[in-house]
Amino acid sequence: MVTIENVSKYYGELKAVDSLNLEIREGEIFGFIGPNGAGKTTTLRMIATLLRPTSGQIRIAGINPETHPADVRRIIGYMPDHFGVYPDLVVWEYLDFFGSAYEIPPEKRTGLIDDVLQLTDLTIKKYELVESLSRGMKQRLCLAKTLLHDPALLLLDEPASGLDPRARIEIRELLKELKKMKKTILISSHILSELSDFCTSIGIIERGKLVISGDLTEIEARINLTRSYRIRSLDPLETIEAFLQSVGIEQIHRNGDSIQFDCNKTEEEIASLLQGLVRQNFRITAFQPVQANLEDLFMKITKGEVA
Amino acid sequence: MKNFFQNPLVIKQLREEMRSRKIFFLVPVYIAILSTIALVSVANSSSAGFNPVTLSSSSKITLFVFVIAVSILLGLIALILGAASFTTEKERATYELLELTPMSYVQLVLGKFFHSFILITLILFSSLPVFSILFFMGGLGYLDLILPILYLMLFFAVVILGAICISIGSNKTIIGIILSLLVGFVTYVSLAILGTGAYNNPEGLGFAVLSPWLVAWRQIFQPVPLRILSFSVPVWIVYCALYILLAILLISWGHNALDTRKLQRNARARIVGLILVNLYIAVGTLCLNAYRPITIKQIEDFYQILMGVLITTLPFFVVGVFTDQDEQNFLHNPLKQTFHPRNLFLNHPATGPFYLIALLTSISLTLALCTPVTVRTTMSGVFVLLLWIFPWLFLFLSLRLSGIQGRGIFVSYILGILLVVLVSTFYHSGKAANTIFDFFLITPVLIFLYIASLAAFILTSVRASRRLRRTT
Repeated sequence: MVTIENVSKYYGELKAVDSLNLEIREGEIFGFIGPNGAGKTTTLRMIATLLRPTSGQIRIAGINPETHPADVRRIIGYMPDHFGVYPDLVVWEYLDFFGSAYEIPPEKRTGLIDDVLQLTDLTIKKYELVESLSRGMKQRLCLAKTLLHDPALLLLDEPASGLDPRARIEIRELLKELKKMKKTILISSHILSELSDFCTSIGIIERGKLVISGDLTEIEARINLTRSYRIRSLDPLETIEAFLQSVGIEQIHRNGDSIQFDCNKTEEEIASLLQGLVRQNFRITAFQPVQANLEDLFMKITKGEVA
Repeated sequence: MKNFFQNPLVIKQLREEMRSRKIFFLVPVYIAILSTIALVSVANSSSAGFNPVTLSSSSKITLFVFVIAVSILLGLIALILGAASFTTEKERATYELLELTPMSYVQLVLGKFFHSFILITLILFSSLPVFSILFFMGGLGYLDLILPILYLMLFFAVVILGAICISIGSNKTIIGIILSLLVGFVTYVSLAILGTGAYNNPEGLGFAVLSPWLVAWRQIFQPVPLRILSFSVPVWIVYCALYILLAILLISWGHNALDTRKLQRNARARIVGLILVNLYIAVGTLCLNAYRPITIKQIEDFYQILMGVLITTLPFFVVGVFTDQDEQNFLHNPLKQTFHPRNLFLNHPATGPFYLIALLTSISLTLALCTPVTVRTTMSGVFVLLLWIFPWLFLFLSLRLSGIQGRGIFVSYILGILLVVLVSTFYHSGKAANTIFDFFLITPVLIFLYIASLAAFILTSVRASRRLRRTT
């Protein structure tokens, strides 16, 4: 769907994106992660035909956005991180304007507006002024506008930034809904937990360079992340702690009524560790790996060089 | 064509505008002012007692006063509406969303244009009942009313488009409005001077065909056709044709400048501009020459007006958005980038001066072709003009080099006006120069200007290159 070959972008002397190579397949949800100022927005804007790369090539569904921006604009839906709304319009008028700008025939437009309003849970606000919407609702309205012309590729630049936790969860639910609709989505964020539960693959960018990219589990395996495990037991936790120390595990910490430890052991070693615990007659109620999250991944990969 | 009539932007703009409070204040205030003028005029004419002859002539005068009042009042509203058109989108961060829709740049410019034009037309038509007072006084035909209104509407159309172009070039609404008011002021004054000149010398209409007041005056008081190359052409046809040409020129510039991605490729706008300006000058001089052969003195007058126009419009030759690469090239070697012939017809802000030379040279050739004046005379006029304009260009380049962009236009504009004032003061003092060709005789001023501007240029370019070296 999106092919980026050796793309660089300079702002004056500043190298915002440095020989970026990326491939996003159809139906993929690609999480684009990086600290602020790493080049995420610049890359998204280049894909969205708003910026021209200084060098390199971009292809979107085989089309070159540099030479055929109008064709690309029809198949993409771009939601910028900082966007404005028309406060004096009513919600449906706002969508109607963009609908007609995207050349959706009037007879189809009404139905479509109702559909996207329902999807973004804004139906009750249909006849209210955009001005009266909360920030989260405006964000959803912008997303509704982005979905209106049924784009094959969605480019979402920090869709949840500046939102309260509730609005953030609502956006996340909405994105999961879109995932079910089999859309190709490129979503950027610096808040990692936001992406971990629905991205199929991720790319981490730092100082304009792609540090790592690919399938989420693949990346985890590739960088050999220390795994964490949690144990719960009916027996006193001190005894278990003592046992774990005796088999050479050092990083142990209490976590409420459970024990958590980090180790580099293989699956087999972990299995024999559990066997050992059971043999010692500990009454284990839970023994589970703690999902390595993107936050750990991110901290491990990036060096925090960008402010 | 379908897109042309179904511009979603117009509907959106009108929906927004009709909800804002300003429109409800604007119309009554405007009608109140116009009614006051009507009342004063009626009171004046009836104070002498009822006399059909004086009444009918005073109805003509009242109509002319209306034309002036409407052109100024609605002209101001048109300027402000146009100047805020794209800057508000940029300030609200909605322009990107607009740009990403499949609407073309021409559609965007036309959408903004029609919105303002429809509003202005609505306000104008809402005041027509006030005009009806003229018919009570008698002495006016329907055409006398309809044609001046047509003139005014065409005038407003170009005013709106001009303000939209300024809006495209600025990033802040307030800067856009101040700039348009300044440009509007200069345009109004130049048109008034042109109109009065032609009024005093009824035989030579020439360039004054651009003044809506003069053509309205001619329509109301002396409806005689214009003679172009021994053909009689109604004044309104020439006026309409010129204004439509201007409108096309502005739309062409505006839609090119909107697309920040393809700045490098736009030779078309500049070539069209060059052709249109020359065409206008050819028509104007041929018109004038048909009445009486043009003299060197008139060419000198023309160059004086041209100088004023250039100084006030020059920011548009240099305004624009640098692409990042352009900016870098410009900072590395400002002089080479500015005067490189390769950039002659590119819509590249730094190439303004070179384009200006091309423009002036072609104008002087057209003038020499259409009038009995020799090429040598017209070229020497260009030389003197450039001599005076170059210091200002260097000042502008220095402003760009010191990193001032949006404000740079504003500052250079003020500097330009100062320069005009300075030059005209010397010119009219009668001590040093009698004609524009003697301008370079005012050497002390010129030398001072060159030293000051070149010093500013060298200083800023050294500082810019130092800054570049430090960051790379």
